[in-house]
Order: sequence, then C-alpha cells, then structure tokens
Amino acid sequence: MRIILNWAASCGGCDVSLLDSELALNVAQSSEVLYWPVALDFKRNDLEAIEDGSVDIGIINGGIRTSEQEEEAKIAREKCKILVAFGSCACFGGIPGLANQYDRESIINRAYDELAVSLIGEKIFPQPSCNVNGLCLTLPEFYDRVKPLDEVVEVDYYVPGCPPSTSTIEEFLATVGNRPEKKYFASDKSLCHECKRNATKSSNRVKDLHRPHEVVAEDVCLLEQGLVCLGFATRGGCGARCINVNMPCRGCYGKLPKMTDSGDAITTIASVAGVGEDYTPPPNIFQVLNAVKDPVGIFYMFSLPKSAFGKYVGEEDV
Amino acid sequence: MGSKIGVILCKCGGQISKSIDIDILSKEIEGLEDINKLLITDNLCKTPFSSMKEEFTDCDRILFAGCSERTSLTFSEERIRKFLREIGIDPALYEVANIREQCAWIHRDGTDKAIDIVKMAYVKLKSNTPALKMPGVVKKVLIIGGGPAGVQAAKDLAEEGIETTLVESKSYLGGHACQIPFLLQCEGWPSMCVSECVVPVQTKNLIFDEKVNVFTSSEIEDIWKENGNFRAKIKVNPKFVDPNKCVSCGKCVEVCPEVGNPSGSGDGMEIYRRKAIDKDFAFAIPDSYNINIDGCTKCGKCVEVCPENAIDLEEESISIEEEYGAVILATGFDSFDLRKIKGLNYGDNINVISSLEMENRLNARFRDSKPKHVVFQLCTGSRTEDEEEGMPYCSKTCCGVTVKQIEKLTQMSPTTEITVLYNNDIRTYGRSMEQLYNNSKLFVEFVNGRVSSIEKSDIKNGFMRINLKSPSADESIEADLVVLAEAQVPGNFEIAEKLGLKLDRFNYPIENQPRILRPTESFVDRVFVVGAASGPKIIQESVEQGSVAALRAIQSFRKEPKKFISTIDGNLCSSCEMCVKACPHGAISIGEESAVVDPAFCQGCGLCVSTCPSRAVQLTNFYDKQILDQAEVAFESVKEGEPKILALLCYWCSYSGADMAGHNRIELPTNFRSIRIRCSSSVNSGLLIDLFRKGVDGIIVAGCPPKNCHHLTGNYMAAKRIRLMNMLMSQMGISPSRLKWEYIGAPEYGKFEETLKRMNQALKRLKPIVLEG
Repeated sequence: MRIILNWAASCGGCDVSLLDSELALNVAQSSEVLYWPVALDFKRNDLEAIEDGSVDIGIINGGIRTSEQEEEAKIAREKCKILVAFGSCACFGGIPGLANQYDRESIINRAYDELAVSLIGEKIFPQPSCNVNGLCLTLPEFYDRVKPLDEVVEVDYYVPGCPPSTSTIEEFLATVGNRPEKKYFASDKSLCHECKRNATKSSNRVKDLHRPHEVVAEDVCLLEQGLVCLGFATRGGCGARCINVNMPCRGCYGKLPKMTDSGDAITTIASVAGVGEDYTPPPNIFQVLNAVKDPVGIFYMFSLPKSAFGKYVGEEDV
Repeated sequence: MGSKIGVILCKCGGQISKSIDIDILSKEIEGLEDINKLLITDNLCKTPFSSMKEEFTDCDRILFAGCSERTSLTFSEERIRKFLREIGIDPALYEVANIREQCAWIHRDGTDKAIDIVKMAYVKLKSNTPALKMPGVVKKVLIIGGGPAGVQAAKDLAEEGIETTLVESKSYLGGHACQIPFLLQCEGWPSMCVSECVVPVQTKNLIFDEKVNVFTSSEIEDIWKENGNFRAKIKVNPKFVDPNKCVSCGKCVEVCPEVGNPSGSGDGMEIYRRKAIDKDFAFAIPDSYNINIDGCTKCGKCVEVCPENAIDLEEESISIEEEYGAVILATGFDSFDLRKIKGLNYGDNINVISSLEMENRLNARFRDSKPKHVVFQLCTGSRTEDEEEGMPYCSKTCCGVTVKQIEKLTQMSPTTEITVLYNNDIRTYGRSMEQLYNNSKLFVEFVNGRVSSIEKSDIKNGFMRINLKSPSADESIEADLVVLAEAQVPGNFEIAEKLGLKLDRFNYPIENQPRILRPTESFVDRVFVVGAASGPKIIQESVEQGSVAALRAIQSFRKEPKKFISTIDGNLCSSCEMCVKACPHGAISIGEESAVVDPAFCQGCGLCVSTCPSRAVQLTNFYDKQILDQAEVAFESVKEGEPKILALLCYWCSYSGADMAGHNRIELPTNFRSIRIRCSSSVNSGLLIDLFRKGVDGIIVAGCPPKNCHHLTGNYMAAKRIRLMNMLMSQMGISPSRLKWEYIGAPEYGKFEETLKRMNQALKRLKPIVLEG
C-alpha cells in the first residue's frame, strides 16, 4: 500500500497517536510511506514528484489556516485515491479553529503588536511578500479563518478525535482499504449510548452546573453531577476515555449526524439544567448557567470552523 | 398522490376585507396547486356547519383563512374540531391562516402579507399527517387513599357506574377525619359535625357497592404506566378476620389477653388502647374486627370463641395486579415531625402535644382531669424560614382548627385559662372560622410570640414553665398543657413520583396549567390529586375535590385522536435520557432499545423534540421541516431592505398576546410573520440557525410569563437557551438583537409591539447575515 501523511494547522498529536497503534506500525511495515514530513525529511517537491492518483491513502491532519496548507491539501488530493481527514482539526477545524472568534487583523495585531516583544525597536507584521536587498521573500498567506479540510478539497473519510483513539485508528486502518460505505469512523449514536455511566442517569433534571475544577467527580454520569459533559451530543467511538478519568466530554468526535450544529447541545443543556424553578424568582433561573462562561469554548471546542458560526461576523452593535 | 385542499376564506363581515383585497387573495389561492375548492364566506362562524358538508366532499384537508384559532371568540380550535367532524375531515388535516388578528386588524393594507400568511398555512397543511388514534383507555379508576377525598371520589364514580378500586393503608376508611371528633363543617357556617356520625355516613355503603373494590390495610407495592393505562400492584395485608363473616359481636375482644398498638400508630394518634384483636374505634368502617399482629401471641382464644368462624391466624397477604385508566391520588397528609423543632421537648413530655393529639383529648372530653392553663402555639413548623424546623408555607387550616378546639375546650372545661401564641397574624379564613376566632377573643389571650423553650418544672403540680420569645417582650408563662398546631406535609409522595408527577419543592404535586380551570389535574394525563395530598384543606374542601376528580376521571376516558404527538425514531435514539428529564408530563421512558413515548400521555408540547440531541424525536404536524418550509415562503412580499422578522410564539400565552394587538387594533410593521409553536421550548437552537440560513433576519421567541408555562418550565428552558445563544452570538460578532427572548402573556400585546418595533429598528441598521458552514 502506498501512503502519504501530511499535517496542516495542528499540534502533531494526531501523528503521535498513530504511533500508539501497533496495527499502524504493522501497516507501516507492509506499506510504502511516500511522504510524512513530520517524521522524516520530506519537502514539497517530494510530494509534487509523486504520480497523480498513484497513492492509495492520504492521511491529513490539521485544519487549513494558511495558503500553503491549502495548496498541499490540493496536491495531496491529486495524488491520492482515498483522502482522509484525520483528527478533529482536519474534520471540523479543531482547537486552532477557536481562533475563528477573531478575524485575521485582530489575530495579527494581537500576536505582532500587543504581545510581540520587538527586538529591533519597531513592530514588524508578517506580509505575504517583501523585498529584502532586492530579493523577494514570500510567506504563505494567513487566512481570515481556519477551515476544515473538506472546505478546500473533497474528503473521502473522516477519522475524528483529538486525537483519534487507538481503537478508532485500528478500525480505520483495518477497513479503509475496502472503501467502506460509512464516511465517519465513529458511531452514529452518541457517546452516552456506549458510556457505562449512562446507566446511572436519573429521570430528573440537573440541579446545578459546575466547572470541572469545582467538583471531585464520582463514578456516575458526569452530567448528573452538574458537569457539562457533551457525550449526549457527540458521536461515540472513543471508548469514553475522558469520562473514565472524570473529564467531561468536550465533543472531539463531532456532532451527531442529525444535528444542525454542535451548538445544538445548548438546547439540551438549557432543558435539563435547573430544578425547583417553580419558586425561583425569574431572573434567578439563569444562575444555573453561571458555569457556562464561554459558550463557544464549551459547545464548539473542536468544531467552530465547521459550524454556522464558523467565522467572526463583526456586526456593529455586538 | 397530491392532497385535495379546500380553502375557506372568511371576510368576517367586512372586517377582513376592509384591509385585505379578497379578489387578489383569492386569485393567489386559486393559483396554488391541489386546491380543490375555494369557498369565500362572509361569516363562517355564523354559518350552520351542516350546510357546509356538501361543499367539501371532494377535499381531504381544509385551510381556514380568517380569524385566529387561538383568540377568536367564535371560531376557536374547539369549534374547528366540531366543524371538521361535521364535514368529515381528519382533525389534524387543517391549518389556519390568521389573516384577521395578525393581519387585517394590525395593518392598513394587509393584502401582500395575507398572501404570505396563507402560503405559510398552505405549505404546512400539505405535509400534515392524520391525527393519531389513541389506544383505548381502561374504564377503571384506582383511588389511592381512603380519606374523605378518596372516599367521595369512589362514591361518585360508583354512582356513575365506573368500576373503582380504593386502596387504603389503614384498616378503616375515613382517614384523619376519624381522629378528629369535631369537624368544621365549611368555611361559611360556624358549626361542627361529629366524625363518629359523618364519617360512617360517607363510608359505610361504599363497602357494599359492587362497583367499588375496597382494600383496607393495603398498599401500592408498585405502579407504572403501560400502553396508555396504569398498572398497579396492590398488596392486601392480612386482617386475620374475614370481614364477610365477622358480625362485630366483640366476643373475641373479651378473651384477648394482649394489648395491641394504639390505633393510628405511628403518628401518635391514639383513639383508645385496643386489644390485639379489636376494632380501631367503635364506628370504624368496614365494620369488622382485625388483628394487630405485632401485639398478637396467636394464643387462639379468639378463634375458639368466634361464633362465625371468621378468624384465621395464618392468613397471608395477597398481591393483586390490575390495570386502570385513571388514578386519583388521595394520599392525604402527614404531620410535620415536631421533634425536629428545638426547645419544645415534643415527644418527651406527654403534656406537649400536637393539634391532632389534642383532638384525641377532646374526644375523651377531658373527663379525668381538666387542664388549668392551655397554651396553643400556631404555625408550629409552618411559615418558617428555617428549613430544619419546618416548612415555609402556611398550613392554612391550623388557625381555624385551633379556634375550633378552643370553642370545644371551653365547653368541656369553662374555667381553663387559654393563651394562643400566634405568628404575627391569625389566618382564620372565611366566615365561620373568623366568627369562632371573634368568639374566642373574649376569653383567650392572644400573644404574638413563640415558645423558645419549655422547662419541665414542678412549680405547681404538673405545670411547665414556658419561655416565650415575642416581638414586644420576652417573658415566661406557666401552663399544664401545650398544644402545637403542627404543619402538614404531603403524605405518600413516592407514588406521585412513580407516576412521573412533577412535585414542587415541598413534594406536593404541581397542578396542570391553566390551574384555575383544571382543578385536581396533575401534569400527567389522567392522574388527579385531591384532598390534603394537594395541600392542607378542611374536610369539605377535600370532599369537593374528590367529586371534581371523579367527574374529570370519567371525562378523561374519552380520548380524541391527537394532532401533536411525539414519536421517537429508535434507530437514531441513543437512550441518553435527556427527553425523559425534559418531559413535564411523564410520557417518556427508556425502553430496551431506545426511549419510548406513550402517546396516551403525550401532551404534544415538543420539549423532548427540541431537547433531543440525536433529533430522534419529532412531533407530528410540527416537524422541523414544516417550520422551515413556512419560513421559506413567509417573506415573499417583504421588500428589499426591510428586515424579515419571524416571531415564534408559544401556543398559549404569547400567540394570544400577538393576537391581542389585533383585538386592540394596534398598527404594527408588516414585515413580521408569526408561527404558533407548541411551546416556547419546542424549537431547537439548531432550527433557529436553520431559520437564519433561510434568510430570516431576526427571530423573536416568546413564551408564557414566569410560572405560567403550560408545560411547567418550557418558558425557562427557552429563556436559558436564548440566553446562551445570545452569548454565543456576541462571541462570534453577531448582533444579539437578531434573536430575542421575551415572556409575553395574553394581555401583553404592548410588550409584543415594543419587542417587534425595537428589533425592526435594530435590524434596519444591519446587513443581511450569511452564516458559514
């Protein structure tokens, strides 16, 4: 099997996660890895030199933040029979996608003006190109927003997760070659469906919401304990690895197939949080939401670019 | 196959045609597909329905363009149902285009908007599905609790020929009334009835009514909902005496060597010391002896003397499982545990007693010794902020009961000195109690204050020193009897919980809204709560509720097909149980594979629909797609540059609020459209996003005023949801003025007007929005 791997706007965790899997190593042994710049010394030329359509599987992790990443994604697409968005960043934009709460200008100003330590006494802003001693130096363009991979190229399969769990990776490696019908290597049902703590849910609403550092969680459903665990709105398949160590699900496997937006979970949380409201003075009903300081960060942690709110709009009366 | 739509366009005696060009509108209607019939009428509501029958023989669904089905006083939903029945059309296959209240009455020229409104109703109607027939309801009623309320319900049901099972945990009927020798008659007449007389009058014939199955000494082991009905497992405990044989001759008691527990054991309400085999009191119904097995040594003497062979010492409990169509909860009250209140020494001192125990002493007429000084304390465990020491609410009857006891006490012992400690005010409501209070003022000292501690001292024979805390001055008095008018708390609320009733913070079941018009109804269909189980009451009020519930139970057996029902797609459901948490009507449970809605209990509010993250739940005739389809055609006539505002108004209060703008002829901007949604909380935030994607510029979501939601807290759910959405929109640089939550009650059309106009102004400054993704 001929394989290429590339990374875009990502942390590298996805590449590391591949190495966690024994199967991945076996696959690597029996395959020809033609391009994997994070692991070996490959350059753009090496990718371009591959014959179009000659690669069996291309695995790309990371979202698209710069023009360079888009160009490479497009080249990879030409080379590969199957192109895979690997990890939450490639699938939905991921954590770097949270930068979409700001436009390019604000981000650059923040990084190169407000926070930058100037070494030469003047503020320097990156430019797509500049002339130095008669030479034209270029940088990739920094886009206005992070995009999920499928916004720039056609994607055949999605392997979500931050990073994808070993079991997801192994299922993917074992079956992708057969071109399975399903596009997502994750469950179509929610994480609750496979979470062993689901049995500890009650039929009652949740009294208080807490932020994770505020409670010492017990071995029962985290939502029951007031943690905004998004397992109910997130595809299963990860094995509930976060919940098993008392960390609420943040949604890295992506929204359920029928949801409009991962933020639909807002509706569910608003429905199930709050008890005893029959005697609560109306303004106080919002107190239960005090634990939700940052709706984007909670409900779109991995999916902002691939959501209805994928771009900062900047209306005047915000 | 296309649908065959009949349209009735009503001019409302010129009120609609005044601002809507009927010719233009009717041409537009005729231009729509599948319109089989267009009938233009001057006043539909005044036309005999039967005369319409011939007109629509070739139609299978009807679009009414005219007045609001919500607030029209002459052609409301109920009449529409009748109309459809008359002309033979399915009750779900209709829609109303409200071109009167929300068009003709609020716009000078409403023609263009009326066309949009009719199209909205039209696209929805096309995808409506027939009403769902309900499973048959078993015409049997289970009454839990045999006090005055439960017994009255049983009597009334039996009278109407309805099979009824009455389950009472004690060995006799009548409940607490049996322990109160003198019962206040009513709030109007300052007199009393003797319970020894009135309780048997109410209960004795019930035993012999063949429509009623009375199980005393019995309990509900389990109760659950199944296929639209209720199933209960009833455990009938042994009485060891066959009531069908026992003639109450009393020979067994004469030979019984053992003293049984006091009757009414557990709450300190002893009527007299009974033997192991005995009746709890002379007039206990059923008129049969029973054995208090804890006190019995099975010596067998009673068996030997019983002339009727009625005694079986080896009798065992039996379990009965049966199905019912309605449940009446008459589980009564418990006294607040007075031992929790510090300083009173309740339980350690036999001369510190509860109000109910005072009834026992009054029953004994104080024949042995008369108290010299009695101190009554009102509000003991009531109206307190300290949760440890009582309940914040007023137990309502205690002031009246206390003045009644004072009247009786002074009759029995005219020289007894009486002091009443009250809690800032006296609440003897109604004419009779107030009169008793006024009578007592002549010889009773009323002190605003409370007992802070009671010292068991022997200042004089048997006297206690009672230290008082009062707003004026702390002092202490001496008395030989202290009567604490204790708070009432709900009896067996676990059954209510099992039935899925929503309880308030004191564990009383919450009544269904509008409460004013639906007394005794709980949030769960066909479960009624009566008597002290729904709050403290005098006996007559409990009896009233029993009768009300009996009638309502009978009415509840009729199950019309429903237009709006939640359905769950098991393939999509992940059993995350969020719908169960959200459902205010106890209609959803988790089955083996997925969550399951019992349609007979579903009230079609759609709270589960919006809450379901898997979108596995859909409401019939309120499909997400229908709302989007409506939005698609809603704004065709809105001019470029005018914001497109969609008002999602809850079925009850808020839609009515918008209608009231029409009734009051308030002129509103023409660029808003409204959709009458099932509850303000029936719409998922994802659907709001989809609506924005359809080009809607601003959305108003409005629901019932606080505490008035017809689905308990749907309005709060929606308010919280919009709050989070607004936060999210701010984070993403989207103007929160595009999405507004408001509580709008039926008369609050001014609030609707203001909200709409403010949004209109704000949106005029903004460009249309394009959402990514």
